[in-house]
Amino acid sequence: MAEKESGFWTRILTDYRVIALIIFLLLSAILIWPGYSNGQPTSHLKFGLDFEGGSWVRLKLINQTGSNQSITDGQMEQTKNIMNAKLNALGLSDIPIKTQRDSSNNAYMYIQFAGKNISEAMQVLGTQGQFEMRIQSNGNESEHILYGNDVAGQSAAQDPNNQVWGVSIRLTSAGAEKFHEVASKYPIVNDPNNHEIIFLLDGVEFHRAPLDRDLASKLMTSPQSQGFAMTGTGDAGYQKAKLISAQMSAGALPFGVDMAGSGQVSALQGSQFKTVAIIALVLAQLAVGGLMYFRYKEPRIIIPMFLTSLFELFILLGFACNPFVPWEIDMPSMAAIAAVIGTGIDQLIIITDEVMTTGRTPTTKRILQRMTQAFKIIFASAATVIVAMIPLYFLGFGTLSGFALTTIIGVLIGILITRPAYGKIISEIINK
Amino acid sequence: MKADNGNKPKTPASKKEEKDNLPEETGLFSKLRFPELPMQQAIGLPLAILFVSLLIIGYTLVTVNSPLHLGPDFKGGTTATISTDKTDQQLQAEFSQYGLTSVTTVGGQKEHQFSAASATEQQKLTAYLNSNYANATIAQTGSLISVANQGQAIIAIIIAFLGMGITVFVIFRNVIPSLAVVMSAFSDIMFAMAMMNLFHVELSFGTLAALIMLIGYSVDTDILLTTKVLGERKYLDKKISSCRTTGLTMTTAAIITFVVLYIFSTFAYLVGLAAIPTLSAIALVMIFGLIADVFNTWFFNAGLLKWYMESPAGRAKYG
Repeated sequence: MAEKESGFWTRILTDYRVIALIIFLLLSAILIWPGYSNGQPTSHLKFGLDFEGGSWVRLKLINQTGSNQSITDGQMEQTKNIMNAKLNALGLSDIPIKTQRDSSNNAYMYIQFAGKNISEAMQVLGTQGQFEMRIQSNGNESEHILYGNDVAGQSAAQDPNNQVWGVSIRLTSAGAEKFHEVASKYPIVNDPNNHEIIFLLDGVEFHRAPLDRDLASKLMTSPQSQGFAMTGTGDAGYQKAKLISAQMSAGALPFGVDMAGSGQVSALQGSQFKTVAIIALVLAQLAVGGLMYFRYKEPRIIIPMFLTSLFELFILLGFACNPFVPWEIDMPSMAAIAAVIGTGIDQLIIITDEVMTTGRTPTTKRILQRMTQAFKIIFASAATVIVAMIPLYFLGFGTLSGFALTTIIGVLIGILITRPAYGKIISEIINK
Repeated sequence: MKADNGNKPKTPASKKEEKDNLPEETGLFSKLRFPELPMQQAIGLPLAILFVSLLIIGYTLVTVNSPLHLGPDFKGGTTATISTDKTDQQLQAEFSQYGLTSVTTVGGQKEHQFSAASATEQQKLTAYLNSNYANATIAQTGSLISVANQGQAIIAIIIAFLGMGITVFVIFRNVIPSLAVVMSAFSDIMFAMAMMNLFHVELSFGTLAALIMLIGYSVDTDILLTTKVLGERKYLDKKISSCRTTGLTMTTAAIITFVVLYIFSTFAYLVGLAAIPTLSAIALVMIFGLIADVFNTWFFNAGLLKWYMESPAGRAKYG
């Protein structure tokens, strides 16, 4: 008897489906990395704004030139850089900004502010920084040349002669006058390295460089409305030019913006939402366990079934922490987790009932036949769920992408990892 | 050709003897008996319910110009949820200047809906809310976006439904059984929508997700039934009632999941936590649809399959 018993465990633990399940469980444990510190459970799981508290705004970009031309991807990217530069200048780093398009090809920026309410976020967005240009006068001292209102425009550009990247700057006539007046006081032609031009945003220096010899000599004699601040060659030079150009605009976006949508959840409310959602899911899982007890009565069936259902959830959460395309668990994802628990249980019931109705004397062959039948049903219904979820992924700027992704991945984990292993385990148990 | 059921084309087999043949049921389910209906009633009753559902949806369509009551995601406007002891009247007076359309009590909090307004108006409202009420939850949708959302929602439902239909046809490669599955899923969704209208559950991104999720849940049991029944034509009623036990366990498990989710996300405030209206609405829609799934699968779809299997076409194919 003992021999048969050990044979049973060997058969289960050496099955490739069971081994795969164990590997995925370990992998998920590493990815989730559950821990406990300062009286709080910790993990690598990322929760969305719904649970962390904060606000988001979606701004529609409007072409103010009146032309009907749509905003290009490049322009959208530039606008995002300017917004980023501005938020950084205000001391807000790590603010995620996404560019989005709707089905009519309108351009949007979606910005999340952790820990700020909409009113605070709007205040930040409405703040304009001040760009200033100074010239180094003597050592650490410098003299003011002009402010941002004297700049007519700037853009990253490449010098056609030597392929060097830089920021091409256009000044207003008043600005050109000021530039000439102040700069010509210093020996910029003979000693450019001690009289560098300094760029500041809200009093904070972000770039300095000596004047180009050619421009310097022209500046000595007359106002110059065109300038070129070199940043370097290659992609590094280009990136730097773009960044400086964004910083120079001091948060002045090249397009008008219209508030297309916004939302806020307070941190207190969010953390309560999280508690409630998690408790609700745990209770749902327990209730399902209770139902299994009433239906099957036998612990040798209920325990593997319940564990499989939990494993499915655990691997799903592991996937949410994957380093390649991690996703935040937001409110729709929580609903999807409930849905995955429900469908998962449904399919485990199908497998169990198929295997259990093999008759009084189950043979391996009969069980295998039944299992094939069960998996045909499971694959068919999984296919329909996945197909139905795909359009949801794209709906409404991806508002439901978390829901769709969680459901699809949850279903895939079920049919590819956990249910095959459960099928093996349960048929061994019945066959024992 | 097996002839056991062959000579009673449209009358249901006598149920008594079948009951005795059922695989042993234990526990809870042994006490519950699923009502057996003659085929005409089995098909007719769900069709009648579908008809009533369509009437309710039609009435909503005529009165509010949309098959469901649209929430702010699809209508535009602002929803603000705050904790306050003020009465609805007081709140109505307080917020009337901001275009308040309704105040409701949801999960122990007051949910205010405001009609779509200009950006400056909206900012005034948020500023007022944030300076007077701590922990306000706010969601604003511009009217242009909400119109775009409407169009996308319709497309999403149509694509999801067509995708499901095509998948089902590919799986069974048989028109009538596939149509029965698709029709049964359609009826589930129509019933859920009708109930949403009766219970004033608005269409939001959350409830839309629930409606589409219902497609998946509803075909689950239908595919189980159809896979088991299509095949040799013997022991038809026994096959149906045996997989009905499985199917009902599945649907009960799903209903229990969502009832628990509904109860806790709706009444969490009673234990001092914040209720989650989004989850509560999603769970409610799922419960409606799953209830419909019981009669649409086990009366309508089962009835139709039986009729098909005993019809000349079915006999020719599965004799």
